[in-house]
Amino acid sequence: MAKTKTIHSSSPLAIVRRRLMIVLGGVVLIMLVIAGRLVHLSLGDMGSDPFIPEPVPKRADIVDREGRLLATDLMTYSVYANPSRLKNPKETAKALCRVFTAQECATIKTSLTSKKHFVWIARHLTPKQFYAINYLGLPGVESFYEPRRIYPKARLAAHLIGYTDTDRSGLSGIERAYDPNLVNRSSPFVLSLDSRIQDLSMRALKEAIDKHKAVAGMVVVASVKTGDVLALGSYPDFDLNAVQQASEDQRLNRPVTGVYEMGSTMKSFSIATALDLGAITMIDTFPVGEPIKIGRFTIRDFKPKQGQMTATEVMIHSSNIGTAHIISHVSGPDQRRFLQNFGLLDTAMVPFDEIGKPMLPQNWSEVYRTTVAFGHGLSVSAMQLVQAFGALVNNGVMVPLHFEKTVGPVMGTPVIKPETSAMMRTILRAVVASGTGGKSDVPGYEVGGKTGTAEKITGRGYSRNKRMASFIGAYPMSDPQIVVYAMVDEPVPTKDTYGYATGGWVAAPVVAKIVEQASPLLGIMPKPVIESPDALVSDTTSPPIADDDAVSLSPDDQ
Amino acid sequence: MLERTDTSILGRWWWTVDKRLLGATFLLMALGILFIVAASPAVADRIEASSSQMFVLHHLMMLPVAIGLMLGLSLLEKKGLARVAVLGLLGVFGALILTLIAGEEIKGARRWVSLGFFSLQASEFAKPFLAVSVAWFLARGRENPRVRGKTLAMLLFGLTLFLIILQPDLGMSVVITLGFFTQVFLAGLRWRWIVLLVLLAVCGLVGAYLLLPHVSSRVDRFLETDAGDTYQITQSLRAYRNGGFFGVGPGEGTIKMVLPDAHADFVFAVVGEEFGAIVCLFVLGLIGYIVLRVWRCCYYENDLFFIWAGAGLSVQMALQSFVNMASSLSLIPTKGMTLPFVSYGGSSLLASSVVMGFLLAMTRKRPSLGGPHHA
Repeated sequence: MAKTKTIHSSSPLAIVRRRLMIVLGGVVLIMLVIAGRLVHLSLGDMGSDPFIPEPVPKRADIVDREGRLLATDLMTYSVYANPSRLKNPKETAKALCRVFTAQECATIKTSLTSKKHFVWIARHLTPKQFYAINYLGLPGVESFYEPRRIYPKARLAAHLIGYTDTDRSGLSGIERAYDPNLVNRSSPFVLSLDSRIQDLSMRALKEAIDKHKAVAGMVVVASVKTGDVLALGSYPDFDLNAVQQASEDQRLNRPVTGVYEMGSTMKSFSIATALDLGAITMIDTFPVGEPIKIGRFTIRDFKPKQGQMTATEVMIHSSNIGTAHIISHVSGPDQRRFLQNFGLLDTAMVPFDEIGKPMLPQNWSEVYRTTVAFGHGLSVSAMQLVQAFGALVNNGVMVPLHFEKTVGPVMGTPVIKPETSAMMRTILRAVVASGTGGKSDVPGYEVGGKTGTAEKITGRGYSRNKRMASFIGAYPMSDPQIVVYAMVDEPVPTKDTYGYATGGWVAAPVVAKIVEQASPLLGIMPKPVIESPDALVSDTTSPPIADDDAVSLSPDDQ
Repeated sequence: MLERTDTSILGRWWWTVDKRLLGATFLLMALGILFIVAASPAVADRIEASSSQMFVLHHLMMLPVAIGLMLGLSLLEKKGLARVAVLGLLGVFGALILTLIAGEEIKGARRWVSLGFFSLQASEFAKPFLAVSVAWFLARGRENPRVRGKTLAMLLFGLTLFLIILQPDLGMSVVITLGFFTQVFLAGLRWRWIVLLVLLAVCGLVGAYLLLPHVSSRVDRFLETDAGDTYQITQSLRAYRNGGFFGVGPGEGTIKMVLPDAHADFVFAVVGEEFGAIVCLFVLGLIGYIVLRVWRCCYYENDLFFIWAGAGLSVQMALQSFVNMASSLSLIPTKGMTLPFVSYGGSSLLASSVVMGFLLAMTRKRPSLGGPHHA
């Protein structure tokens, strides 16, 4: 061909050069196809492979307000196979049995010899286990990354954090309530929770539960000014990494799901209502000597007193009779309006599906509205109580409780007048300084609060022996920052509580412990305690009245 | 380091060799070491080799030999090149026949012959020697009509193809055939002959599909993703997807643990997973750069022998790389071809060195008319 007289007039070199360009064009074309395919594949296109499980979306970490890890994704491997594509399912199963236990091995054998197109061999393997399977080099046995949700702090705030199912959709707590926010979110989800305060609160609660051989308990610590929930504990609790082993009772989120007749703590709201409406003043007195008869019911006091008492003294001694007299100065609609404004008649505004709805009295007849005034006939959740109590001491402004860390300004709703709130702070401080709440006091922190002892409803009526002892307090009363609520369910009296198992003896010490231990962490300084003779007189001449109130509501004809 | 006036062999070599081509080759070799270090220990572990670093050590031992061979060949002048190529091709014929008689059968084909310390894959060496021999005979035929250059070239090609198809090694046959076609195309073959040759090649491929069961099985599996075992290719594609643009990090890949030929035929997939698509594109670009560099020299070259030989060699090398890459990318049916200097394998490494040695020798600056070297 070199010598042939071609139709081209050009020289062989010219032909070569022209044709070199043609071949080069071909080479470049192939390179472009390969480069295109590379880019296409690395963008994540798998072509047609119907048997590959969907990649699992990442789930954001959950951290506490200071960034401590509470929930995170751990990268694990899951191994599966398409039995219909296996050349020799029996051989494959046999090889896999070298890695798995005999029991797992039997399951694998059954699933691999099935006619299915997809079977799991194992899920959530550690890298070591995964390597062992890979090492077998079995064709048709496939794997993919499948993250697993783990909770590094196990029991800490288990009820609040919540958990997911195996397919990683949230089942309870934050994991459920904020499920859409957590999926494919790049930054961690920051809770209002403080792990340290959660831990010390639960320890204090647990100690009281153990001491009084109680069956359950709960604790809530929240910021008065921002509504940040700093601790939310329920006992018995469970390990988030072993949810399957937890009983329903362990998984119950008491402060959120449980609604209870709160007992005497509710008296605070009745007094605040009467004071705010101007129906009573701080110097008005009310008779407490005689039980009150309403219809066929008689209202008594746990520890009967004589004479007349001011509103402050009614609170100090937690007098049911006194409270009943005070509420009689308030009209029924006014009482309900204030309860409504305190959020005690509506479900708490937290985004949890498991939130408990309050149980309202059958009607608002005189009997019911009187019993509601001292804490019976209306069941509310601890979330509602804590939120409403915050308003009492926060110059009357109610800030909604929430679980996300507050950033930016906080919106609150005025519920009572600032002056009423100031009076309530004085009263609540008096309850602790010289009343039933004495055991919650911590020198210098000006704790103010109210005890509550509710008899549990068993069968047809109230039980005499089964009580829920609670205490709700805030501090420091000169400028309240923190509200603390503790409840111990069915405490048994002990010798050193002189046979008492009431809120003042059981729950108030829990609150004191929390105040004492949490304040340094929260940067709340104690006020210097002046040991002047005056102070001694006002604080210690009358030792704390450590008896408590309980409902004494019994039909007359029994 | 060497004076311009140095007229020793080394001195002349240093001043005439195409340093960019040399640099690109060394860069490819260096990347090859990195990739084999990443990919091969997992393979060595799986076949329960005495050491997980067996392949790495073997590769590092072969590399100086390969570099020596390449530099040695790059010293050759025109006549020497032709002599080495023709003698080499005769040696390859001997080795191919020996392979057919005494070769070890691996996975249904006889491709390797054991030389005691080293298993030799003779067909790897057929490529460079054939390309240079064909170019030589075509060029001789042009200079002297009495030498039946075209006939001789055809005969050499036919014999090589025959011996390789007997093994059988279809991928190598395709690469050799396309390399030969490029050469005769550049030699001015008329278009009607070209069309005829293309038709013949298509017939050959269809024939291979119909007659050779392993070929039909592979093609079937490529065409129908649901038919039979597409395990390797599924894993390979997943590797690229896992890797994305930036890779999961050297040594972090998992595909190498399950792919049987992760260090050889599927090394590109391991690169894709661990180093990412960008590094893959760089490797592709590096091979493209080598081809382009040779092409530039060919374009300004006046000696037809050098043009035909250079083009044939570089097309072979490019095609071999493309087959390797395209197989692992599921663009073509899986074909066991190595990636020059990157895949593990002594024969492949040495043969690639021969190719580069020849190309370096051909692209050296020579006193001739025109061309960029003397502009």
